[in-house]
Amino acid sequence: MRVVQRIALAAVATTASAAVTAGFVIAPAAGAQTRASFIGRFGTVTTIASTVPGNGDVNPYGVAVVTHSQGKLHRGDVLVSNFNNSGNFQGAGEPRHGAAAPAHRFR
Amino acid sequence: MLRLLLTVSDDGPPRLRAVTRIGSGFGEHTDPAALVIGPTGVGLGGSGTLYVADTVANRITAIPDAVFRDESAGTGTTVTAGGALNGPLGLAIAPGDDILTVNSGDGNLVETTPHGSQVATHQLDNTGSPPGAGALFGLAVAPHGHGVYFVDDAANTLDLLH
Repeated sequence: MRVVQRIALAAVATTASAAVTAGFVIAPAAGAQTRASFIGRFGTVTTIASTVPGNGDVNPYGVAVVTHSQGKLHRGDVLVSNFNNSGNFQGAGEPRHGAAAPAHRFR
Repeated sequence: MLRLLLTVSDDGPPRLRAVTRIGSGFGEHTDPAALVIGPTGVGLGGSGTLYVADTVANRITAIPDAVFRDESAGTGTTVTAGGALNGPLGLAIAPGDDILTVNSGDGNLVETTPHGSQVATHQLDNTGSPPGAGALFGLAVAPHGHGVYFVDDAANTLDLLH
């Protein structure tokens, strides 16, 4: 058994206007200093998967990468939580992973 | 802003041991197009500083000594405000400790150094009106820093910038 400290964040939500994945442009921010950036090395957006599970929940908000394998989770898996249910009702999405885990899992 | 002390075991759910308020006073409000808007993304830097996406104030703040402090730092100190930020929501820490945030207002990913310099932006979504608004929320750095995962709240997809 190990004890860890974790930080929680305040509950929030945001709007969900209609949009689809778009092209993208690398550009320095206005007034930015010249400096090697982390994101500047990337130039491609690939859609990994739909985040709509079998129950129809929508509006993915939280995303996390599994850093330690445990149970059904494997290092490198990605967990996503949906905020809305299939009727687009805010806050009613069921976080899922398989049948009973906290989020939807992608591998 | 709360720090939760958990006991984690291999054979059961985590158990809550203690709760400490380490930040407070951030702006928040309800919104007809959202449920609540307030401080959203957080990320712990290598120095033990907690970075907060203060969405309402359109800034990133820093709460020092977040791992050990035993009292609230208020809203912390402002790392950066305005500029390329446009309602920052999700926040993640990049290798090297730069701060990554995604905007609710324009679909951009913004990289900021711990010293407050906004060094890069990357448009991840430009659809809708205003372009990209409301599409981004959560993000996470891929293993070994090989990219940035992000969810598209409007398209209902998990995407990878790489």
